[in-house]
Amino acid sequence: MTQNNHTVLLVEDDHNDVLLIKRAFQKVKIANPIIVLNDGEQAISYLAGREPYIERPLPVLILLDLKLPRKSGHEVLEWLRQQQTLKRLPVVVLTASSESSDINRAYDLGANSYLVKPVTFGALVEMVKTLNLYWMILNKRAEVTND
Amino acid sequence: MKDEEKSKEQILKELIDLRRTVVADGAGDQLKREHSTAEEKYYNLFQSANDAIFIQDLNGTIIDVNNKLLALFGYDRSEIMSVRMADLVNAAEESKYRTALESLVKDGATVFEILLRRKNGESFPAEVSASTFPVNGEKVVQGTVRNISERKRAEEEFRKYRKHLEAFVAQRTDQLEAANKELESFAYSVSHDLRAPLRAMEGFASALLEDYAEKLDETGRDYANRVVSAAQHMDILIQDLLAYSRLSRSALKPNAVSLDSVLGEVMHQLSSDIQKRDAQIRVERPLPEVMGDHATLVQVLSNLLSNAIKFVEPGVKPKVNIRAETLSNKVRLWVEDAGIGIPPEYHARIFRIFERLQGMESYPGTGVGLAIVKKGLERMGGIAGVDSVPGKGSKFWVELRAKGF
Ligand SMILES: Nc1ncnc2c1ncn2[C@@H]1O[C@H](COP(=O)(O)OP(=O)(O)OP(=O)(O)O)[C@@H](O)[C@H]1O
Ligand SMILES: [Mg+2]
Repeated sequence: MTQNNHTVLLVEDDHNDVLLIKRAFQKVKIANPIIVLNDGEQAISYLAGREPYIERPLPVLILLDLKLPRKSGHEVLEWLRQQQTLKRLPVVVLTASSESSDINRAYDLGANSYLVKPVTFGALVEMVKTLNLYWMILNKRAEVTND
Repeated sequence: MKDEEKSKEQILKELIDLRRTVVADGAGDQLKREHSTAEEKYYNLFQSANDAIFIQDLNGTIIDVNNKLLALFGYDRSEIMSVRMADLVNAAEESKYRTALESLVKDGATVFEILLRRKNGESFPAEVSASTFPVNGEKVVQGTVRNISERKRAEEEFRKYRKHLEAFVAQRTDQLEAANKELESFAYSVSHDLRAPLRAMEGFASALLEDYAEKLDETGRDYANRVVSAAQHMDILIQDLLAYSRLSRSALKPNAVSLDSVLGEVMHQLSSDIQKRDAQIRVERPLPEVMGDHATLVQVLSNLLSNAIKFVEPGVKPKVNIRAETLSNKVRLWVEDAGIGIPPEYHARIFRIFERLQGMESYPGTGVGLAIVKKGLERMGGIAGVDSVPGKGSKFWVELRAKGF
């Protein structure tokens, strides 16, 4: 377990989106390391500290897509909010869906914020800038230890 | 009328007396000769009636029946006098018969359905209507029997048909629900999956323009720019299409909505557009309340107003007037502009999805706006239309039920 670290966990299966989000982080000059996981099951294994993620750093923020292989973002969220202290991790849903059923469900399951991926890269850069300012700089973190 | 009834009762009484004598004497045929003319007239009526008629006492003893009744049950006249009323009833329905008799004594008249029995044991459904008459201080019953086999069969057919129909409707409803679900998941994948490659197109073309601008010549940069703007246009198209499809599948429950508050929200939504174009918008307040759905009305009005400020000659400041008109139980809201106008042959067509009259360069848009207006009104039980003269401006209107109607 590493407290007080700066890792951002990006749970995203679309490689183009991964590349664009990473590029937006560079544009905004965010130094936080990004760890990318490609499906919901990997995300749960990582957060739970199971093989092969036993030595993983806990993230400061989780960016979670909803439509993922194996386990959906909703399922990851549901699992996370049932954990002893891991449940305190802030989760920002970052997805393409603007269906109200998806939005409501995400909040019901304990999402801290819900963002829809913008189509233009310029808008994505703006979004990442705000995300950084709010969640990584202004926001006060809770204590999170391994359960 | 009263006299006639009285004489009928009188005649019946005498007839019954005669009958009793006859039954007691066993001298049936002499009877007819002893009839007076009035009695004869009544007796003929009794015999030639289209219904099967019986007369009985309260103990269930038959006093007289007509020929129709004999035919219906398959008895001879000589046999019927030794039959009791209860013998004419299907054994399983005896208690029903007794209950009917009881209510007959109590109320003086009754109509009931019952299974009756022919001489050959065959059963048939019948409707019996009976009433009591006082004769010589004691009550007798006169009733008609109607064979309702046909009606029962028709009712049964109808019941079967209705059941079939119900099953059919239920099945269709299931199918429709399934289709609706499918449409929903289609819309979901449209919003989710179709936009993903768009993000990539736009994002990487932008990356080319930013990181490799020097390595591209003018034409190369133009091409990359075209990729960016095409992707952006397709994104708007998908969003509009989604808004339209969401409107088609969401159930709306109309309630009282203030058009003033709807318009307030719309003006807020379009404020930057209104400022950019320096549009002059006049609203004849107060606007009334209508029966509708708030969010849908915002969508509708936002499309009408954005059209009104968009479709003007280049360089002209848009001028829009918004007013409402109450016609008994309906409210008609007008959005009137002084823009380019619409030739009459296109007035119906522009409400269809993707129908546009101008090129993308002069007036950008996807052609979904008015389709949303039309669909939205349909969903709220209203209508929409337009009055327009080319060059003189357009007056779009929507009509909904007034509040409380
Ligand atoms: N107020 C108006 N004055 C003149 N023409 C109009 C007006 N409103 C609509 N039209 C014509 O009807 C067409 C269809 O309108 P609609 O709102 O459906 O599409 P759009 O405005 O072109 O695109 P969108 O609303 O989807 O962005 C327009 O392209 C235009 O030709
Ligand atoms: Mg429009």
